[in-house]
Amino acid sequence: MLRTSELPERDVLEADPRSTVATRGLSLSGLISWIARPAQTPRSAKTVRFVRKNTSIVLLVVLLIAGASVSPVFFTVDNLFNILWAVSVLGIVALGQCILIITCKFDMSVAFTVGLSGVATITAQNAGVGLLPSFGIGILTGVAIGLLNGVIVVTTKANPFLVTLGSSWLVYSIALAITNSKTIGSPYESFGTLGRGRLFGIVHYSVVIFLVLAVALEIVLRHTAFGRSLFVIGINQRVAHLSGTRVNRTVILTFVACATAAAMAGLIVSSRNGSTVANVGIGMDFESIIAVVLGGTSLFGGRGGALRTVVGVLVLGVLNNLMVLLNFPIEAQQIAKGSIFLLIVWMDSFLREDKR
Amino acid sequence: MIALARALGRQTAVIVFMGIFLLFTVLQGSMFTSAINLSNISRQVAIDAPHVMGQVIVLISGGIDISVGSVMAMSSALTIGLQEYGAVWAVAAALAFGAAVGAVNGLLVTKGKIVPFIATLGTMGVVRGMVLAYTEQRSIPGTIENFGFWGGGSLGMVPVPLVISLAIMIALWWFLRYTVTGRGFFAVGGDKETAYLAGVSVARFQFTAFVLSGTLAAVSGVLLASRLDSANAQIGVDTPLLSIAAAIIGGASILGGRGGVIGGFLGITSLGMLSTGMNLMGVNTYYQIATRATVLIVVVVVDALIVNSKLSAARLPLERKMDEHLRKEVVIV
Amino acid sequence: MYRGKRHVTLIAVVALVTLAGCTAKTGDQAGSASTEAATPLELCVVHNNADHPSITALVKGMNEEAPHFDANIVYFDPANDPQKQVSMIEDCVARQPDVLVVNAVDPVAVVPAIKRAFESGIRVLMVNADIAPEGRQYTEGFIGSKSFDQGYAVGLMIAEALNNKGNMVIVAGNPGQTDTVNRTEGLKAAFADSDADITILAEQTGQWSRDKALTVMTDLLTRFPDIDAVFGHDDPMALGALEAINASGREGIKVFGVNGNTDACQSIKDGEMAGTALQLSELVGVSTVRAAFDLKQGRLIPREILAPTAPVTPENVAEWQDQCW
Repeated sequence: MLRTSELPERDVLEADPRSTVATRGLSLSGLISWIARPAQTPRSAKTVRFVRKNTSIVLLVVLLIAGASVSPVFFTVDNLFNILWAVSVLGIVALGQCILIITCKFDMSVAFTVGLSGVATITAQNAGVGLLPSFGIGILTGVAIGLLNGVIVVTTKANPFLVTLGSSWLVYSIALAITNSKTIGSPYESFGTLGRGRLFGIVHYSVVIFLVLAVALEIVLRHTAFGRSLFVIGINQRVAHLSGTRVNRTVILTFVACATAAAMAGLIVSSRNGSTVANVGIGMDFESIIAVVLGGTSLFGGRGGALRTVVGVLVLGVLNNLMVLLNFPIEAQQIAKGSIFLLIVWMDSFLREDKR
Repeated sequence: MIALARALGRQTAVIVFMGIFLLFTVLQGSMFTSAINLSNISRQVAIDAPHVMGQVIVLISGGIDISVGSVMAMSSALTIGLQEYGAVWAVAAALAFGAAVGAVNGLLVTKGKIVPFIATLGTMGVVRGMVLAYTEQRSIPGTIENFGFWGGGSLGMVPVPLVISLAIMIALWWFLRYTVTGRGFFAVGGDKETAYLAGVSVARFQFTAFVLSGTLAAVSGVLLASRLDSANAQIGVDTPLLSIAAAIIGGASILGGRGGVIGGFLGITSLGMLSTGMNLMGVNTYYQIATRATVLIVVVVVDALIVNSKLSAARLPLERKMDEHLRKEVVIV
Repeated sequence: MYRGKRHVTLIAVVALVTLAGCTAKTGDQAGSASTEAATPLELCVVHNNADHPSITALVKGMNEEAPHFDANIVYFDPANDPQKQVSMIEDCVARQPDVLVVNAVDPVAVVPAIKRAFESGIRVLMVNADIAPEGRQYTEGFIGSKSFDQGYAVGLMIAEALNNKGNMVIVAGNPGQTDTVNRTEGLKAAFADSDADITILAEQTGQWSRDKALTVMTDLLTRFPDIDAVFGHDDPMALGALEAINASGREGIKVFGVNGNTDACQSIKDGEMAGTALQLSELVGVSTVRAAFDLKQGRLIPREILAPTAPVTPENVAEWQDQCW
């Protein structure tokens, strides 16, 4: 990280940014230090601060521009809506993961919660339960798993990563046992409306749910005492406790919220396919954390937001879409995603002034 | 009495190991304890043991390494793929690759100041992509005669990889316990700030821990390549979480500062016995997954309870250390 | 604290050694090589991935046939992990079954393990995914339908449907798996044999997941305005691709899959999907049990028992539909 005192005098005198880049050569570190250079004017100071705080939005914009220039079909309404549709499931899971990460905890069981909720819903339907009540059962599955995770973590003070790792395996085994490893299909035609239908024929219901949830969560985080207490718990649980927050209850609620979000995502994904299988959510544990981190929420807790997570999720969605549009082979896709992720995280870390 | 309870608390690995061993001996008798079965279990375990021990070291130093599975896959691919240059060079290349990935992880954490979980998550994806690219998505068959000896062969009834892994384990145990460098890992993981103030180069130890982890994951990869006598892009997908679970059962703490390679070895052996024992009994896969989950949760919960309870005379300093981890810089949101 | 620790470790080691010593002596293999017809047929089956409908059908076939031959069958599932499969093969060997049945995740990786099984006197049958050629000497036979043949059947169907000319995309299985690789190769071989001028515009992985196939196909539709056919490596993915096509409103794209799921067959009947390669998996399961019984009796069995792959099209779906699973 560069401090003012560390910069060579030459760069400070050089007002023209282009020549700075030229003198340092077209290197990545040159570019970064150009971005991180002390601001000469108030306006560029604001821009620099904006870039520093919102690396992911910048990345999203860069990707959108790059996509539009390399692929003629990328920047069309249809394609952009498709990206939103594809990414809405992971997005909802990421939103749940986000509020948990703000309190400095992870939930590794979301991937299989997505599976179990869909499994429970469809199994209930096949057993004769009506459509709407079956949704209730799916959501309740999430609540139950969240309660399990939350209660264990709060009463035993065990590490959430490990506890949810264990519970994820447990949930998976239950889902496998119920389905007997088969794909189970829903008997109701109308079940598909949730996942496939569009509001007013334009925007998919799942996208609407995703965005509405994001906004609602953002409001809760920024403007309610409960939301603010999440940040405090993330920074220092002791202090939160001493300042009157019911820490235990809040933490359990947060786990429940996260698992319920995953359950909702599970409902949507099984709805849009009319069927579900135990491992439908596989990989979403890491992916949701990646989305949250990409969005700028700190893993140490105390920093972040729901709207930021939406940006992170969109980055992933755009990347996936672009790579299929450009016909990247799978190995290139993996390498590209991993590298971009590391690059963003590194840049974010490099540019932040307040880091460990 | 309290001393005994405390000692027991620190010996999760041994207790779990004994418990599982006794359970299956009682349930399955001679089929479980037969020489051939124990030989099988120890072979399977010995191949995973190196990366578990690497994970233990990283955990001790306060980090975590999720890229072990991908590194294992790539190094096993390199071991087979480069066989035309001779087994020795192929193995050397594989180990070098593991060390290189470890170095990248180390740099990301120390210089990039990226959290280990995230850094290794990124490298996991990138290396997995490399594996897919290198194997061109097919499996590569091994071509060197008798290369299978190292992973698949036996000296008498004792599997060769077990000998290799035990040797590594003893070397690492001695290193961690009796050398200043080894003990440095504990210092760094236990209390970074104090270690720094004491003049310990925190960055150097974190970096070294990751290099060791990468190299050991590569060792696992080489042994696996020898056992399968082929390379495949599908291996190692479940490995990271498995190695963390084994290390934790072995007594390592995810907060750092605690753990042991012997514990890790016992941890992975416990999981291996659990798996094979249930296979022998014909237990349904679903129950096997559930059992593994329960073992992990029980170990983690009991460990947490003991650490936080009055039984632990080390409570006060440890509690202070835990507060250290809970205390963060106050960031203006 | 040190003393306590040493005590525990010491007790542990002593107990272990004593127990191992006590039981090891009596540790002989359960179920020696007797071939009396009176004893039940012990089968140990190692899947490649139980989480797939074709395997469920296979298991159903085996379980239904089992009572006729007094067979006890145990199933293991390594979930597509070659390392786990090898461990499970070894565990099976320790159980000393009459016959070991393996569906190879990686045909090459299983060779050492099956060789060891062979050397300990166990007869091995390969199902659906055969062992690599160098390992055939250790197995008694192969039963199933080859994924290459499945791809070939679909290739012929596509060539005919498109009159040997057109554009298509492939929604593939997990990269690196034998089925994925073989089905595409079978497809291309069929095109070559029919002299078909069909361009494969893209092959993207759907990871055997219906939902992933949905999103991938959506993007492929965006990219290629001119697609005539889609080949999904299994029916769930084909159905996912179909879903994407319906959602996009594009017409005239023919969707083909492999498996013969009830959903897919119904879809073909309803005129939506254009075809699938029916894997007669239940039949394979039944044949496996019978072949295993024959092996136990000491009879010879054919080197390959191939279950035919039936191409199911809208024309013939009526006859095959009750075989769909």
